[in-house]
Amino acid sequence: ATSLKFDSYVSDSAGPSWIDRWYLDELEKRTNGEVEIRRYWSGSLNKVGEHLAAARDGTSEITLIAPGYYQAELPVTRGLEWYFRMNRADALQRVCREVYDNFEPLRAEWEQRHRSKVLYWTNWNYAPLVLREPINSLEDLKGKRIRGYGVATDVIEALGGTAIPMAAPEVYPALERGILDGVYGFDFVTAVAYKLHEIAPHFYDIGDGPHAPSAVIMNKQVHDNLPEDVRKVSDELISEIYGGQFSSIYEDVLSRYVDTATAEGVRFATISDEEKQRARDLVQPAQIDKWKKEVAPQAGVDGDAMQSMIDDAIAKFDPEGTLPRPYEISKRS
Amino acid sequence: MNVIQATLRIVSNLFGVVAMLFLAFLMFGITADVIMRGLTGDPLSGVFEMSELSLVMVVFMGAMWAQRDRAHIRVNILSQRLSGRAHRAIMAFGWGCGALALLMLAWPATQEAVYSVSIREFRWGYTQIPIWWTKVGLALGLWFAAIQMICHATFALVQDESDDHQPIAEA
Amino acid sequence: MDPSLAPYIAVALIFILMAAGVPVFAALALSGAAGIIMVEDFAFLLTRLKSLPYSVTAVYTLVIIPLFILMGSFAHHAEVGKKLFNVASKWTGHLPGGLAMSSILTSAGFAATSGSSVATAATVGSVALPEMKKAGYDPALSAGAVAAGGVLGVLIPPSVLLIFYAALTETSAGKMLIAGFVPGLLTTIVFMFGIYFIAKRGASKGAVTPRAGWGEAAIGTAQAWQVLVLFIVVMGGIYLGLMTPTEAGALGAFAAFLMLLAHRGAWKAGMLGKITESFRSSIDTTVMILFTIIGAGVFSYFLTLVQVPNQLAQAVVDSGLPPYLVIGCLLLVFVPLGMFLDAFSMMVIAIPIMFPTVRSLGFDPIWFGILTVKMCEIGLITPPVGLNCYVIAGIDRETPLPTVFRGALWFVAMEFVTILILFSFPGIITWLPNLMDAN
Ligand code: NA
Ligand code: NA
Repeated sequence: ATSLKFDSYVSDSAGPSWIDRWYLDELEKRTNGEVEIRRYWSGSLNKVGEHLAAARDGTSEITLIAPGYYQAELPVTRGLEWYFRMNRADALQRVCREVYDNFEPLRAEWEQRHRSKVLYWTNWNYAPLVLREPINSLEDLKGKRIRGYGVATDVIEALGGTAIPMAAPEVYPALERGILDGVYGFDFVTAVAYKLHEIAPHFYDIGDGPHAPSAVIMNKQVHDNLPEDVRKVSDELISEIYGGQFSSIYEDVLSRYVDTATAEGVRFATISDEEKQRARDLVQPAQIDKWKKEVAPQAGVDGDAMQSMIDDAIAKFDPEGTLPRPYEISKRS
Repeated sequence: MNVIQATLRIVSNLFGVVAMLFLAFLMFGITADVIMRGLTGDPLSGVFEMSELSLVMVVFMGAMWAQRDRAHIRVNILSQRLSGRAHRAIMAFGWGCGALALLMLAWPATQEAVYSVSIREFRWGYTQIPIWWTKVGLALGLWFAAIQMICHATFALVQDESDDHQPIAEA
Repeated sequence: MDPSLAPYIAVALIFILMAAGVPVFAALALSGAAGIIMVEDFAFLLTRLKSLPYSVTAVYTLVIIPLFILMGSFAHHAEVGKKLFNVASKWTGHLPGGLAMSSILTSAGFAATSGSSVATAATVGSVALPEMKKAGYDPALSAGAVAAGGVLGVLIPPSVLLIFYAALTETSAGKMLIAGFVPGLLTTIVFMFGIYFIAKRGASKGAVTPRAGWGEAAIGTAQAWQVLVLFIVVMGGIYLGLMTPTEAGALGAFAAFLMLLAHRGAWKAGMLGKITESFRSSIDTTVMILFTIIGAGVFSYFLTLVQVPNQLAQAVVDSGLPPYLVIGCLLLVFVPLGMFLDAFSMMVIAIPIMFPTVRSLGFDPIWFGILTVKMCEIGLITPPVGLNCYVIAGIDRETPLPTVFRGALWFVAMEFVTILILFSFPGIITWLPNLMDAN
């Protein structure tokens, strides 16, 4: 029997965890007990920021990686982080796979530098702009204090807000006491789980598209040494994830969370198309150019080549994307 | 022996002053951040990110002072009841285990520090803050604390260290 | 060797090493390391330890600890703490155990500003312990009182742990916070009654201060204006939405620093010395606490790795006992876990396993949440790994660790009484959050 440890820094009900659990369950099921996986959620085994090293050094076999926590270690992967560049979260997943398969430095970053194989790309679906008070236009964001992290801070600042970094457990009380006017960069499922809407019920879809990719990886040596039949099952599962499981699991989860959120008083809203376009112009292509100028050369990669490959992949996959945004789901019923 | 003691004392004071500066930064820096935010609406950038790093420096740069002041808690019901050679042995065992634990942490922390420096590791919050230097400080602090603890174990074996919780005025 | 024996050996090793006088952090780290080597190997251990000291200490929510200790230290040298405590003791000092009661009340007040149990114990401990000692209190009772008073920190809102439970179970964070308030008060009252009876029956029986008249008590209160300033800075700042609890710790320390500068007595005794001493003793205590957290981190990694907590929780879930008995047993699982693990680790591992059962049996998630938080908190004052007791033993160097734990055991008993009351009368927990629905 093959015994593996799966190690995640988020809880088993967080957005991507629904996909991960499906993969782990099916892997156990379809190998008829040949594979046994111990699961460690919420950073109970390794703490946030330790998971990449754990997979690289083999103290954990499978793990979820959000590149935001490993900025210095994943400079090429950071080229996949953006807002306001595409529309569908399931398409983002395929874009990432396409670039991973075809842009050699990205694959090398994972497979050689960090000795880990990306099993499948996943992501945080959508991150609404969560606000205490409603806004009429983006103008109203001027001077608002909004919790942000990573690329999300670029967006907040570009829209005229003040980005305030804050530890996750302090976010709710900070909203409650008015230290924060809003929160950005929490994915929808997490925002609902943390009950941020009890204080800040206005969830805005600002046209920023899917929220940050992440990857489920396996230690390369472990992966290469898997029994042939086990690897075959895993490959099969992965192609099913890309082939529609991702969107169907996620759509189901999002629908349920939209129902909960609506029942608990979340006001889903959006801004006009002109406003969205204005926001997009403020953020892009500046954010990508910054990566090309500051990060890519240091990492020794051709930033233009990678980004134009990404542009092609977006053009190819984004129109095929189907995963609806929470705002769209809320308008269905 | 005296040379070692004197050297350790100097290093511990040096490290201790660094720890003090970082603790002072926590107090003054965060206070300034709150006041700035209250007055202008904008936070002082970098203070939040520096807070965690400062805590790391306070802990590992302060480790030698803590041991000099015998701040690490231990249970002394057994050692209190012993005297002479048995007491020396048990005290040496206690500090020896302390040293072992520190060495066990110091060696891998050094590997981590080397790696961290090699990639110029930084953390990403509102601003990018390099963090590799804290990992270096952490490893250094652990190594010197380990050496200091080895010395304490040796002294305890040779000179017999009293069980008092009172701080002891030596290395 | 049979790897399933590893947890037993590792646990036994903790007790042996601690009894032999090994510093607590080392006893924990070495026992955990031994366990990891038994189930994996030495190379695995060294690989795992690479990042552990950093990841355990570079945590923003821990920054609050040195800040509040520093505040306590400055306040001590500025003799502010003495005044604060005088106020409380003017009102309660004439009762048997009155000073210990004062420290419980002070803890409750402090808990209303801080979400951290350790910060509460550290702050109140540094203020109240010297005064109780002066009054001739039984060291076990006084140390136990401040260690136990700390648990109010996570019960009375604000509280990181309550929010964390809410997020894990997707229950209302607002309701969880509100729900902690009444049980917090109840715990405070039970503690005070408990102290009264302990003191009356023996410990510190003679140690009462003369009864102060109402007038004197009022004047004493007015003289403690600095306390009022600290109170306004810390509590007001948080409630007015100007800052987070961590930031309030920094501002509180800064305010206490200014008070020390303004204290004439300190200039006579050498101001620079006082300042350095405050810093150094705060650093010492912080190092001790964080090193203990590192040691506990190694040990808890081992327990988590071999999935001991999961198996315990799963066994109860699968037991098929009657509903109330299941809940009772689930809660009792936290007692052995709490001996070794911190509250966050316990919740993260146990709640996802327990919660579906709790919900399917139709129990109120908020009621179960408060009971869980209370059970987790007991772990902070039970041996061998009880962080609050370590902190108190670190602050009061003359009271040995076993004495602190012995004193804390009285409060563990009182905690069980409180939990039994809350278990039997769920309304105590649920009426306040239910009022939110009514509005
Ligand atoms: Na509190
Ligand atoms: Na305990």
